[in-house]
Amino acid sequence: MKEQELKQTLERLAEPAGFSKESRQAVWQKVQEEQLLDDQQRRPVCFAPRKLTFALAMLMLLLTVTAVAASKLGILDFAKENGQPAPQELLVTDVQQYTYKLVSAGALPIGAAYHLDSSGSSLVSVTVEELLYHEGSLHAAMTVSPKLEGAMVLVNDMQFVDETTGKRYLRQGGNIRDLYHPGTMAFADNPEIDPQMSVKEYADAHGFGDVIHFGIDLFVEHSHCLVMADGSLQLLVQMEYNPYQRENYPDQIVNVMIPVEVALYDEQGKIPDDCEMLELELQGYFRIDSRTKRSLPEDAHDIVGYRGFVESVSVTKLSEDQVSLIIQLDQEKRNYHELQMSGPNVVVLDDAGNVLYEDRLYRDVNSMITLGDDRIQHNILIPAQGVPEDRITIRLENWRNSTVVYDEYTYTLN
Amino acid sequence: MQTKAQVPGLTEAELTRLMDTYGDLLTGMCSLILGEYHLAQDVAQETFVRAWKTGGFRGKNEKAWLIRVAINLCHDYHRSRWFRYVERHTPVEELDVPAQERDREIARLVQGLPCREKEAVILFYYNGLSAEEIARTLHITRSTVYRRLQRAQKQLKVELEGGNEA
Repeated sequence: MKEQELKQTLERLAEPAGFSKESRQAVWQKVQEEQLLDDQQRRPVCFAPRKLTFALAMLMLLLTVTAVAASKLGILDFAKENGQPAPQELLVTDVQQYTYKLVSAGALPIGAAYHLDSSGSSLVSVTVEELLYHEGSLHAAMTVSPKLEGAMVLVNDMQFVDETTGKRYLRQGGNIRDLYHPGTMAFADNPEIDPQMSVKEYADAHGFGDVIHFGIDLFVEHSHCLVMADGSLQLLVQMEYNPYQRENYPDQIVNVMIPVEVALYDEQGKIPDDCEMLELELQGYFRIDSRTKRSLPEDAHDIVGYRGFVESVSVTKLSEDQVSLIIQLDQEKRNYHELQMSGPNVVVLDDAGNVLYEDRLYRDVNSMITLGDDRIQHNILIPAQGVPEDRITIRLENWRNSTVVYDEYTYTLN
Repeated sequence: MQTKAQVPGLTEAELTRLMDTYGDLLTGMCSLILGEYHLAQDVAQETFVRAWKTGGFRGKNEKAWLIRVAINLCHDYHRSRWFRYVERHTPVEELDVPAQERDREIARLVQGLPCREKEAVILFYYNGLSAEEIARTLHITRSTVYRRLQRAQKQLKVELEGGNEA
């Protein structure tokens, strides 16, 4: 294929996907809803006047389908036939409004029954309390309970199940963001949760460090990632067994080596658009429950840091005031996957422990340094009087937290 | 339905201009990345809502900023395990495109690329960004852009006609 052919074909393929009039209207609608929220000073979800305990904390999501789609789908009829209250009886006025289009609405059969399904996770149980239709919106009130003590469970997707056909429909992406929104989460080990508390605030209040988004796109059912108070990175992962129905998997133990992606949430519990993403590999094994075909909660893995990616560091004294630092990466890991890691701090010390140099190894905060490169060279300048005669120690530290030391090397200058 | 967009990011006129200028581009790009027309519309909508809320591109290259946000949103979808399993209803190859077998074949090949290679190809060949611009947009090094493009070109068996520089 020639480049021009590829270019023209992509343009042809993308042409029908122009920004539709409906999408433009949807943007204005969302803008209007956001303004309404601002006007209401973002009042939190509150299903009851009392504080909610964790086990009973309610999670409210609002799914919007267009009135046209709703009439075609018979959702209104379904609500009426199943004894749901009339729309005017619904108390939704003080609930934060999250809106979604049901992407697969056009494919839903008329008159089908719907419920929200928790997928039977052994980490979290979801009970649908109510499913109501009101003025073109589908409202779902759910109770979310964790089964793994001490875990901070982030519910990260929701799907509709058509009970007639067994077909599943997913609403993803937006749900993740909104579930992290203050007041919409129910998680962790049994405290009372203030509906106005954000994920970040909750983590701070309960001795966690930063809250981190943790995404693995293979097999993973539930996961979370926290920076603990001591600076270590803790990952908890629950795997789903054999989703592709492969035949060459062992019955009870699955060994995995998969790339994971980590990013810090911002203060609102969202992944910033321009955030740094840390990619690293997760390696471990998971025992699989033969009945549920899911990994056991006790096999949730705790991986501290990501030591071992840097194979070696070599230092060459170029002149009286310049030292060249070359980082060689682990061959096996480099060959396995293209790894990326945000630039750590590099600290150079003399034998007495005096800091000769300290700086971000890669200065651009937003850049990601590809560790798949054969070499990453970083020339550092040390004042002439600071260049030691014999040995120096080079320490690679987490750029946010110097107590997290990835690797440390001692070298004799040439 | 339109409303006065007073706070916090953009004016109504600014938001309208962004949608007029970049709506088709972002939707087309997301459609190619996600292989799904409706998801692409959703992502484009959300991108503009974010632009309205934050005005985050001010002082920056607005096109690059919008592309970056849209790609991040596409990543959110890709991170979903269900994204791989759930039947998507209008894959690219079934969109209302000229019914040429060759187009369908190329669509299948592009959709078959790994996510990052696919993004590089789309930004380079569809959005018309240079390797330098892609690097700045995705916050990666230019050598990484080249490597991804080369891998994609190899997989697609693209015959180069003049190097990678746009």
